[in-house]
Amino acid sequence: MRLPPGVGQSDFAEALRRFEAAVGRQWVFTSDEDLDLYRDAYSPFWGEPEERLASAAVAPASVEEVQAVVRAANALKVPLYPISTGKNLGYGGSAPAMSGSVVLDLKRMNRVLEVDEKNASCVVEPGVSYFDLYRHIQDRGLKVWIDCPDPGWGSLIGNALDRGGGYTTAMFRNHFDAHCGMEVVLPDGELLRTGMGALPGARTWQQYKSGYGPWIDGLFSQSNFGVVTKMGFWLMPEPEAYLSGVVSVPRYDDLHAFVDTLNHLENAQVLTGMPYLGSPLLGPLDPGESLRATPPREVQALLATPGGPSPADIDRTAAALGRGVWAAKLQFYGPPKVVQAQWEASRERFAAIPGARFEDGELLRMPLTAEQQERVHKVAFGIPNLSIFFIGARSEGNPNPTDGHIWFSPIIPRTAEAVIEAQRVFGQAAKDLGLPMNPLQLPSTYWQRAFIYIFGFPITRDPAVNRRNREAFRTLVKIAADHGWGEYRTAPAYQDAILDTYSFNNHALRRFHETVKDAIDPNGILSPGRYGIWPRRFRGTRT
Amino acid sequence: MTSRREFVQGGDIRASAPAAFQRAVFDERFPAARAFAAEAQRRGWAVTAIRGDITELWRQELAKAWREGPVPVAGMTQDNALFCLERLAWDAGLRLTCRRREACDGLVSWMMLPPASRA
Repeated sequence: MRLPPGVGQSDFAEALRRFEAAVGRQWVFTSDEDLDLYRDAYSPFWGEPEERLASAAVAPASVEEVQAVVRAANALKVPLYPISTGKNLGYGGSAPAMSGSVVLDLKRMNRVLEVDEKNASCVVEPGVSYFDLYRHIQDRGLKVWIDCPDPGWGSLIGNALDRGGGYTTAMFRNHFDAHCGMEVVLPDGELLRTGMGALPGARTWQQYKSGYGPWIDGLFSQSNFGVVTKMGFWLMPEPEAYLSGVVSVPRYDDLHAFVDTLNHLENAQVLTGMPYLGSPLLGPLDPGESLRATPPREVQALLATPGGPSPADIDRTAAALGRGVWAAKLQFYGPPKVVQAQWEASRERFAAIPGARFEDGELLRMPLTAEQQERVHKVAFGIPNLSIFFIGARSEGNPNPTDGHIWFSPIIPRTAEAVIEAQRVFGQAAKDLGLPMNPLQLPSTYWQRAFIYIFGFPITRDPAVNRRNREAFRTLVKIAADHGWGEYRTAPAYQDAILDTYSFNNHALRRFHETVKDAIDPNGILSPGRYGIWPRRFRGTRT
Repeated sequence: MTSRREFVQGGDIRASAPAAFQRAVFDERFPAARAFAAEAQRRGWAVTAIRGDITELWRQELAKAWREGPVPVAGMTQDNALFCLERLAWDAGLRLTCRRREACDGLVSWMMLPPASRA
């Protein structure tokens, strides 16, 4: 049996006995067969000694059981690693940040506690997936939408705490920002409610976020300060209609006016949906379709230009193909008259760019028909799915798909200058590291005021390839940081490295995290190492 | 090596499995998977076609079936469908008990059973 670091055999046996007393024997897992299920299928250390593995897992079904498990772990100094549904693939999965931790598996806590249609909000437990909440809403015919990430099998709470994103309007697609109130079990077993949940009798827990005094909710995201057992979210009232339109511009240098116009429209709330950016030279703009697309021969030749294509080369190819160089699919939600007016106002703004072209999209009225649901980009309509897993499927064009991926995702300024600089810097780095990099790839717009570049690193079952990719990933983290670009989220393998880059004033942020950690979790039992926050007891373990 | 016919019949695993298979999943884009489905259907199993993506299979059938209990499932799909199904099956208390690479189209045939059914 694997032991948690710093825990003796007898203490661990006693902890397991207390866990069994708390949750029932059948919900404590120690066999290799069961613990294999908690391996991170996308671990960049797969099969190597550094792969993070659990020593046991325990699956409580209620807040009281969570408290009992946490108290037992605290008494015996056994590290716990809470997971919600454990499907955060690409950013960590269900394996602990520190090997030997006991996974606290919350997926049995799977109740949708409330959906308030009038307030457009819900309260859920950690084991509720996007699929679960969607079904709950559909079964009852409620007129609210959820906002989901690409894979719909994950937990609302888990994704929000990891600060994941979705695809509808800015206020909902930032999943942490869309939450309103949480309930947390602290490392000593104490139960805390944030916001208006701290006021007994308040009926505003999901109406007013910050309550009174310091607003501490952020402390429980990307951290290890507590086990979140309930969370409220604001939902999007089902809109009457959806309208999209595509705007494209003909020259590389148009990117400056293009981004400025886009930002103004979104910040002024004329543009209500998520803009999908891309180059028409590469194909469609919808995220799923763009990943499947193969560019025309002329564009492939352009991309193969030694040293990379110049802006003039790109402009010439675009003109020859009759396509724009840059484009955005704009999306609008609301009453038909409103979305049509918003599209018209957007067209007027973009028309200031000489040569801008426009393509009207279809006006869709809600609810969508089954046929419409089948052909739309589902997540833009709050419909959870798993299609993302089938984009890289084995096919004639892709005979050897990888075994997974891990995301490198730096935040950069939302300006054309930053995009061009990032393309140059990452393009050179990719060349040096032997990685693919498309000079026409534009960043994503999940977050309203910043761009995010997302690059996938393949995960294989070949340790030598994984080792090379790990080195490349770390190099990119450093290169990005040298330019002021920091990752928004990452898998445990890189959490220390990335927190190291947030180093202002001699790592004042990390030192603050550690001060908080040591104060509320003196025994260091909750998720040691998660997001680079190590308790005093394990601080020497930092990678 | 278990033949396809034996596999559809549950093979040697079925001998120790009290719960007979009632459900099969196949990727209708591929001839070998269609043949698998035809045999399963002949045996009276509920057969569901997918075309790569398992979302509808999950939403319309398995999520409900597995909420009520760990219903055994067999299938012939590509790896990524199995990858997703296996993870969802774990949550329902099922385990992948058999997995075999087929000769063509990147197909894999597989069975998922509840732990109690495993020898």
